[in-house]
Amino acid sequence: MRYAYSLILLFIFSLMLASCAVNLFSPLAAKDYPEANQYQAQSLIDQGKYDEILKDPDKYPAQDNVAAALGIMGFDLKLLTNFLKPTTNSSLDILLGWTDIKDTNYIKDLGYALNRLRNEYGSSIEKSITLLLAGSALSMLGLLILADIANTNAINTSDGINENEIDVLSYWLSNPPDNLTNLFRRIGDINRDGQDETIAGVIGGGFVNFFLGLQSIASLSPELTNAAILTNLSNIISSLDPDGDGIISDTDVSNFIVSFLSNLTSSSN
Amino acid sequence: MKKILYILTVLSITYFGFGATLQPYEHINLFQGAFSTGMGKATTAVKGLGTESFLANPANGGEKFSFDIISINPFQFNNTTLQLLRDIQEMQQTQDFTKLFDYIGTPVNARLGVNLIGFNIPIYDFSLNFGIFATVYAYLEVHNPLSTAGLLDLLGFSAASFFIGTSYSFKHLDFGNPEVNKYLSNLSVGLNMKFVFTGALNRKITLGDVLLGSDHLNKIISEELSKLTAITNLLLKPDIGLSYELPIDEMQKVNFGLSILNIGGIPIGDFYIPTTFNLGAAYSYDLSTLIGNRMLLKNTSVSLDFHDIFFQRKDKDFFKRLHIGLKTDLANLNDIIVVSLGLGISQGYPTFGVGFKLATFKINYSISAEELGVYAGQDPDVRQNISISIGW
Repeated sequence: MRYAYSLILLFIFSLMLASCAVNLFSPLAAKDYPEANQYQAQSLIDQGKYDEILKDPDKYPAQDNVAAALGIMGFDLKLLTNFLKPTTNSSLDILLGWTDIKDTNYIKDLGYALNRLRNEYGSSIEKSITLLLAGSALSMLGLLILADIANTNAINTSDGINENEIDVLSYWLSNPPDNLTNLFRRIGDINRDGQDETIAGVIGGGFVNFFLGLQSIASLSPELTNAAILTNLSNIISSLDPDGDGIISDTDVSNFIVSFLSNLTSSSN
Repeated sequence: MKKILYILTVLSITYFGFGATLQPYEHINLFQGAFSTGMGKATTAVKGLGTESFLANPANGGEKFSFDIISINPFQFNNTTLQLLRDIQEMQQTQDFTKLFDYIGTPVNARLGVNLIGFNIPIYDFSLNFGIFATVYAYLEVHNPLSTAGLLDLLGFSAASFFIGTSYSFKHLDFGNPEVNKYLSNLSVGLNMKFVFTGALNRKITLGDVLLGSDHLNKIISEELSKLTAITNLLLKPDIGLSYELPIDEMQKVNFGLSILNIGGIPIGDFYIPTTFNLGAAYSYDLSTLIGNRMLLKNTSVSLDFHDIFFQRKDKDFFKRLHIGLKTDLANLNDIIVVSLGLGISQGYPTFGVGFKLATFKINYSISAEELGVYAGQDPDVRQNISISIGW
């Protein structure tokens, strides 16, 4: 009998706890306005519900739009958990092993999101800190996966990436081979503006924010410029945009990728 | 890269117990009693809850003598807090910290309020109310770093306050006009002066911060924690209140309350508790007389509050400001042994509360949900609240 009472009490308690999360006013509350949408975007990204954002991207902030496009391709924090597990694989192997981009429509989503971001923060860097390292760097690595999808035989990411493959990749950025070009032509209008886009153009928007954000960290916190990683990346910035006008050419991007991958692979060793 | 992520994880664990956070859209108050939370926080027009009533509306101070000494009110935590404590132990044993990522998007919070002393002394038509309370509120949330929320929210505040105030009932005041006397005799006014010390931290840690290295992270977190413990900001903030009691008959009455709390606003770090105008109404019915048993269902009332009627909080949602409550003494033996029940709807979420009193020992427990999102129903955080006190 005592056991039954305990069960009943436990059931009632659980019911009360569960009912506390049910909102009786929710059907009446206004839900569609910028502050609510931004909060909603953060919650959806935290929960990994990226597709909810991509269904109606303009409703949410551009950064969260980019985040969702990256997340749905596998570039989210769960990917990073694999870096914490003991393994003999290189970081790049883990990254490439985790991501699985079969639906190339996601690239279209990413292109659209990055274009929004570029338009919104082209001259302002203050709010792009979150994106700048997570989003841009990972989207660049997504390029490797695309190369695999294109099945060029020149790059095979399943066994990691070597220097020759990096060279090939950087060359493609400015001189894309037919099958890679065809891949993106099939994707079609990446920016949904009636124009075909090159891969460098798509990811370039993210890179601009990435570099400018790093520069802002350096200027705001001079003492931090001694950090090795920032120094390395600052060098890349200088080499990427030598005239400082914020315009990144295809060649600039390809040079950056080579440098970045070199940094990444050396830091993981 | 592995090393950096590992350091981040370890740092997160190290500071989980101390990191304090303040959610920008949460309706934070310096004081929040456990029992009043159980009745939906609809207490602006409710008398008889001692210090909780007075701090909700200074005009509600004078009904009966009460005092609390060294009470914990509230000890508040959400369910994740307990789960996390268990998981941390497990993670320390297995050295596998990846489980932390299961907590992405799940807030972890705890709040501890301590009333070192609280007196409510009726003196003729006046009351004298004074006391000391301290609150430490901590909130931490790990986000997916891809979002604009950053990777880690570290927010919170600590506050210590000495308060002294009074309420005055007009019931014996002669205005020289019987008609005026008749109406104004139901009016009470109150004033509460709070001397508040606050400390706060508020920091979003981004992946950018992480990639700048562990020294940088250490520096950020140390700086923020020092802000929480360095309580240096002294403020004098008054509350004022009005209460109007409208008797219907011998068994029923309606009480209306208006309180203006934290006049001038209380800055807490980057956050701000604004001046809030709260309106409330409470309907009381003497059910014990109705059922013919003086020990059952005494002090029964239902109440409705609308908090922050001028929308000074960051969000502008009407329903986040709506509170409905019910309280009754299920059993009351001459105020020596009392079992109380509180029910309510706070910001749309049901609340449950129960209180036990045995002579000078009192314990209250309640379950409630706090809206962390922008509108009612967007992001509930279910919390449990406990208060324990010795007093009368």
